[in-house]
Order: sequence, then C-alpha cells, then structure tokens
Amino acid sequence: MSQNDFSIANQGFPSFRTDLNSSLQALASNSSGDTEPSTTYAYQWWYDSTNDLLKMRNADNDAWITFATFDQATDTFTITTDNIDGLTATVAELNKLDGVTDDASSYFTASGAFSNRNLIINGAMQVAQRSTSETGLGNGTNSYKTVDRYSTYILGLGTWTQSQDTDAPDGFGHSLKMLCTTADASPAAGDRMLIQTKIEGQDIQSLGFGNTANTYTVSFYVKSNLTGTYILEQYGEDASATGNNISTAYTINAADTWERKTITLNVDSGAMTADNTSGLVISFWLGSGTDYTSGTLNTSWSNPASTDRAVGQVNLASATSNYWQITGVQLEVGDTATPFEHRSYGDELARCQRYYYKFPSASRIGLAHRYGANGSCVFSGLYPVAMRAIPTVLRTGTIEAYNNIFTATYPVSTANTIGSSADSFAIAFLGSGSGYGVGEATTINTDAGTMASDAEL
Amino acid sequence: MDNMNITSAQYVQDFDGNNASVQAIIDDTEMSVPLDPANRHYAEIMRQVDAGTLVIQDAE
Repeated sequence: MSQNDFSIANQGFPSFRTDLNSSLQALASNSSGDTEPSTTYAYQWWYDSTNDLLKMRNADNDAWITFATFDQATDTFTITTDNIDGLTATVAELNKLDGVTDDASSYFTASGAFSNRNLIINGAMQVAQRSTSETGLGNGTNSYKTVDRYSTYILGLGTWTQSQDTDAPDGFGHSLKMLCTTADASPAAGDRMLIQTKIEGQDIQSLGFGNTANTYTVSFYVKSNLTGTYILEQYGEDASATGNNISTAYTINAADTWERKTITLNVDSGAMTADNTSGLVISFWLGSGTDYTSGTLNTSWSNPASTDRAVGQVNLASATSNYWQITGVQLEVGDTATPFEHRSYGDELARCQRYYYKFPSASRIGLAHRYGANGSCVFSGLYPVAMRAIPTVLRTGTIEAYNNIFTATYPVSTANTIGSSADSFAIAFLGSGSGYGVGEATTINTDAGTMASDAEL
Repeated sequence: MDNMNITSAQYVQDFDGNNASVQAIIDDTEMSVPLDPANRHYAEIMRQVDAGTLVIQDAE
C-alpha cells in the first residue's frame, strides 16, 4: 500500500530517490490505503483497502466514484451498478454474467416479463376485421365497430365517425380515431361516451388482484385537438371486498400532438376469477353529462356514486371536427411503463380471432351438404383459433350455396347455429332452391354478403 | 353498458329436435345466438327474459 502527493519537492538526491519510489509505488498500487489520499487529482484511482473498493476521482475532484467491490479472499470482484446508466453487450457476453440483478427503473422490470408483457390485445390498433371506418355513430351505439377488441358506447353526445387511422406516433402504423361530425356542446345529464376494451379474468392473473401491494401500469399514446382532462376508468368485473371501480385523470397537454400517458395503480383487494368471462374493463371516457361529473373523482378502488366516475372529463363533443386518437395501449405487471411491446399482425390477428372471426368474403369458401327440403344445407368446419365461448353467428347480405348439379346459386334466408362449439361451427342455411338431393355437396359463396362469429366479452 | 336492442328472438332446433340456438334480431342485425351463458348475446337475451321484457318464441 502506498500513497503519495505526486509532487517531487526540491530536495537532495537520497530524499528525491525515496520520494520518486514512493510516487511510483503509489501509482502501481492505485494509491491504495485505508483512507483516501491527502492530495487528490481529477481521474485519480484509489483502492480503499478498508472496504475493498476501487474508486476513481471525478472530473471536479470533489468526490469519488466507486467502480467495483473486491473480495480478496476469493479473488473476485463485483461491478458496482449504482452509477451505471447503460450497458452495451452481446447476448453471449450477457450470458457469461452470473447473479445479475435487474433494476426496477430500467426497461426490465423487477416483476414483469421480457416478452408477452402487454396484456392488451390489439394495442397498436393493427387489426380491424369488421371495418376500417364507420360513420354516423350516435345515440344508442353500443358495440364493436372498427378496430378489434375496442367497443364504442354513445348515449347522446353528438354523431361520430370511428376509423382505423394511419396517423400514429413514430413506430406505429395505426390508431383508433373518433371524429365528431355533429356536435353536442350541452350534453344532457345522463349523456356519456366511452371507448372500452376488456380482458378475460384468466389472462390477468399475473396482476395479482387480491394483494394490494401488487401494482400494474397502463400506458398509451393519445392525441386530440382538445386539450384538458380526460378520464381512464377501470372496472373489475369480479366481486371485490372494497368495490371494483377506479378512475384516473390524465391530461392532454398539447393540441394535435402525440403524447404518451402512464398510469400505475395498486390492484384491488378483491381476487380476480380465472375464467373466460370479463375480468378487467378499461374505459376511456370522451364526454359526459353531470350525472357522472358532479361529484369527486373516485381515485381508489370502490363502488362509487355515478357522479364520481368521470369528474373533470372534457366534452369532446363540444365542437364539430373535434377528434381523439389512441394507440400503443399497454397493460403490464409492475410500476414501470416499458416500451410498447410490438407484435406481428399475424400474431395480433390470431389473438383477435379468439373473440371475433370474419369468414372470408369470396366464392367457394367451404363445403356444405344438403340435409333437407327447400335447398337447405349445413356448413360446418373448424375455427382457425379456438374462440372464447360458443360464438354468435352474424349474417348480412346474401350468402349463396352452389353446386355443379344444381348449376345455379340460391340465397340463404337464415343462418342458424346448430351444434356449434367454441372450436367448430355447424351452421344451417335455410334456402329456397331445389334440384339436388339430400347429402349432396354444395359450396358456400360469401362474396355478396358477410358472415362472422362473435364471442366478444 | 345499457341494454342491447333485441327486437325478435326464436328458438331453432337441431336435427334431433332439441333447441340449439336463438335466432334473434339484435341492434338491427340478424344473429344466431348459441345457448351458452358465456356468450354475451345469450346472457343479454336471458337477462331481458328474466326481466320480463323479452319472450323467446318456440321453434317452428
């Protein structure tokens, strides 16, 4: 161990030699000593032999930066991570590390997963099986219109066009857009408008509902011409000891600008049932009458008065051409909003098809067989993805059956579900044609109509 | 959310004569609704039936 002030005094040769050797030994030993050197320089090394720490003097020469801790018994060392702002390493290099402990403030959360972090389906608004634009949405709208997994609820509050828009923040291709086409600047007390998405209870077990120490984080990108306060309300559909609603205000600060918002909550004290029914409902309020705004905002899990649910919410219906857009919706375990987890279109489509499957619109999408009089036939097959529950079958327009013997198509007047499951369908088409026998095959044409199966929450 | 607008509902039978689904007009759309309580349309139909505001017609 040796320390020196690294300043050779004007002295006789023996003393000079001693001073020089001391300086060299101090350099060679990184100024090791039980206490810091009495004279310090910027960027100087010091091995703190009391605590076995290797330190470097900072540029201002007024503090030490600890670099590593040494274990002189085992001849090993540990990099001190407190001051590391970033790390660049290859996968192979990372795999050599042992005992790596992550930091909750980093992108790798202490409690979250590296992949499949995002519990929201279609958070980037990539999939829109039903339609990419729907106009004239107004009072009484209560269904899924364009982007998959997001339903629209409007009571009063003007008329709207909803679309899957290509305007999106950097790194995204789409957003969901609500555009006001008829304003309602003075909503009635009971009016309201929300965009909702729901998650199955069995898919959010990782949030740890029931243990209020657990946290989760919702993040999203939002843009509007109308700045101000907006409300995000969350509703646990399962029973809870304290109630199951909580509202959080967020602010759109700048008009016509994409902003990322982050909301972290502790979970409710009530457990979430692990089944295929709705577990957590996430509602983005866009406007409301006083029935939902005249109280005090409900910022803790409870069963609030209606007047506490959307306090402060701006009225997006206040003027024609007002708009609100959202994308990059993410819900994840823990208190950190990690970067949005992008998934492929195919991956997201398959996830959406668990809730809604649109049959291809084309001729001869599959085979059916005639089973009775009047041209009736049964169209059966497997769904590409097992659906959440036995779905409702929807039909619009003309569905046709066709075979080469009949040499003509006939329209299907009804499409009845018979014996379907969540995995497969058996749909009885009741037609009016004739000319081929029971058991004969026919193809199904959907190019003049649409058919879909709906197992949404 | 408020009620769905259900303007008609009638049972449909399978080949064995058992009720297999409900043919319904919901929010102006023709739907074939399975008898599955986890299906949101069936759940709403039964809620309205229980409330006395909807009657499911027998199959033809």
